[in-house]
Amino acid sequence: MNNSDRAIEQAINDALLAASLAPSAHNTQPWAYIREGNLIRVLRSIERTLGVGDPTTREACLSIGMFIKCFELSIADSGYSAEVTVPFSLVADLEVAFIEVTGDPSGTSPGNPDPSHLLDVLQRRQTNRGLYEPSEDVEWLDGWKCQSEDVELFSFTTDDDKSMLADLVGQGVRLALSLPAMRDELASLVHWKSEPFEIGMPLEAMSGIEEINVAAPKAFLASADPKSEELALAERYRSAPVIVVLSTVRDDPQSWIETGRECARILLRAAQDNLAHCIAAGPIEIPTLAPLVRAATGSELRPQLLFRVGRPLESNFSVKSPRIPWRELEIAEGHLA
Amino acid sequence: MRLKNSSDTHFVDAFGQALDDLFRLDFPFVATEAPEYAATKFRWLDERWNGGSIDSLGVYAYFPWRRTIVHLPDRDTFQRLRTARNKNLVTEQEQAQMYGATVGIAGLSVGLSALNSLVLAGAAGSLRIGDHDVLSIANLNRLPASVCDVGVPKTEIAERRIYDLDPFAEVEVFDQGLADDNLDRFLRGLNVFVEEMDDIYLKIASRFAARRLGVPVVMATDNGDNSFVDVERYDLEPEYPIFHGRVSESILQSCPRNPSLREKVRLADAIVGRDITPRMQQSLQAVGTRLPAWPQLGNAATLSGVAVSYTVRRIVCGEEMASGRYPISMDYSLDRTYSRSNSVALRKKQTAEFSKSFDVLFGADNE
Repeated sequence: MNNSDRAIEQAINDALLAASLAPSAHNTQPWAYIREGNLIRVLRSIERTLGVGDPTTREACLSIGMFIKCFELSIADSGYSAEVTVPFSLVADLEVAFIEVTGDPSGTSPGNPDPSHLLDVLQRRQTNRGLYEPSEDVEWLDGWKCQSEDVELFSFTTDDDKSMLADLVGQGVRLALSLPAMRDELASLVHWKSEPFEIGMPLEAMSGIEEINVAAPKAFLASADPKSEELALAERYRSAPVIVVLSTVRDDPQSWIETGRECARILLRAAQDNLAHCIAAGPIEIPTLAPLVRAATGSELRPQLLFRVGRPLESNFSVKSPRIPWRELEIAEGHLA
Repeated sequence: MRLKNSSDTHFVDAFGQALDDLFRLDFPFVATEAPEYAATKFRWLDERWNGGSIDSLGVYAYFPWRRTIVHLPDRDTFQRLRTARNKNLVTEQEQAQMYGATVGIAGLSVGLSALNSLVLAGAAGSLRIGDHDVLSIANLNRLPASVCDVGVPKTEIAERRIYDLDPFAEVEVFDQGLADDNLDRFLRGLNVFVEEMDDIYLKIASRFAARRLGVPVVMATDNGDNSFVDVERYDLEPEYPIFHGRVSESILQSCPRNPSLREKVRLADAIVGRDITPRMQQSLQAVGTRLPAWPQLGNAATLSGVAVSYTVRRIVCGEEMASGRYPISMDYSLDRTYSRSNSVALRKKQTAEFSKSFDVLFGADNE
């Protein structure tokens, strides 16, 4: 392996690490990859796609879009380019994107002069489910230009708009927590933060409760009251400086991945200012709520992601989420089926 | 290729007509009235179906008995479309197990009804059918056929029914029916053998062969408007007695190729039993005097077909389906007087009388 090979190898490894730090639905990290030299075949992991909470695989594809964007940004930071192809795919398809890494960084340095900067931002990126500082300035979202022509951003900052969307988020969590199968699936994903785990969420950061001498799933089921969670979450969304909805022209896996890529750009921009975010899947996934989100945007486009951004006021709701080591995301070709 | 209807050939564009359904299968979450429907479907058509220009895709199937050419998608897509509404009453895995099965059906009276239910369900992508008979008007009380088909071999009527529903099915036809010299060829490799023949000798011989080859046997028998299903799991129980041991195997083995009426009736009696409906009992006593043959109702044939199809599905999907007899009674389910004590007592009396008359006519079973 010559120096150039070593450099690109390092860049790809760095990018895979960066990608593995992307946010995902309930921190399921539903991505995997097959590496063929400088080509990364991006796959959806069946076992890490939520069975109840993600019946269409939309949430998994949104997450994979974020994985891809983090990879792209890291590769660019290393001075290479990543050509991303998101082919048309169906819900059942597992291979959802290809990333071809090209370029010779010697002589040109199109990336960030400080390659550690992106990793730093990625590591600072945080989900926080608590209250946010209402007066935070998020002007940078005004006039945000989406990179995919399929995706459009709607940001809501007035109290009326935020209140309407916050109510939908509240209803979403109430409905979700009222469904026995959904409760069980969520319970299967929670842990105490002192426990070793690779996917899922610390219960402390989800509910703001402290560890007790009961298994986390059991504690979650005992504490997750639909009505009180509805009120609490609606209040937290109402207090956020901004609620963002990303919508698309089409409603297929390709559009979901494009939406995820766009979302990662926004979340990382927010992380630069040490702002946190919180994504609400309920109003998007629950068929009776999605039309109301659509109506709130005043557009015919299909809402795909709803989240708030802001400066967190309750640090106990912000816990570093664990990750599957990036090398373990690689799967052998034979296991694709 | 552009096919047009002409005076002697009819053309059906089933593929073109199915594109909407196919999209709904791939995108059940995109409602037809949703604003994103058109754009999402357009991209899907573009990427999956050549922008909707599908003339050169799929297959063109010719149905000579209908003088009709039908444009269809490929086999997998067709199968997926045709069984879409089975989901999730039948899971994808079960559907694949069912379609992957090879089922043999001998005797195409109740057998035709069973075949109809099986093929409707998307079971048995591979079939062997056997019957030596042709359709007669007297069959039309129970066979889903047509007066236009009178005189046509029942195997041909069955084949048409199969291909009408699934033009991709693989069908092997035994149009002379089953016989000693083709039993093994018919049975070997079957996942299930559906035995609905009238010929008592062949009923016996085919079971001995099925047991030797480890093929499970399913048989439904009409009983008035009701039916019962007999299951003999020779695949799981190589020693399981023929006809559940209702008749000793030495007697079965000595059954001649052309048994006398008395031998035939006594064997049938032992196999079926006497717990049959009163009208069935009366009718059986009139066979050969006032009636030409054992009576059979369309209701019972249809019910039997459904029961066989259900039983076959359980067997090929690996569900519990033990050897034994399973009664299916419309009378019990729908006639409120059926279980009343006076009705039960009356039936008991009638059965005793029938038994007595039967023994007088054909000789006691233990004679």
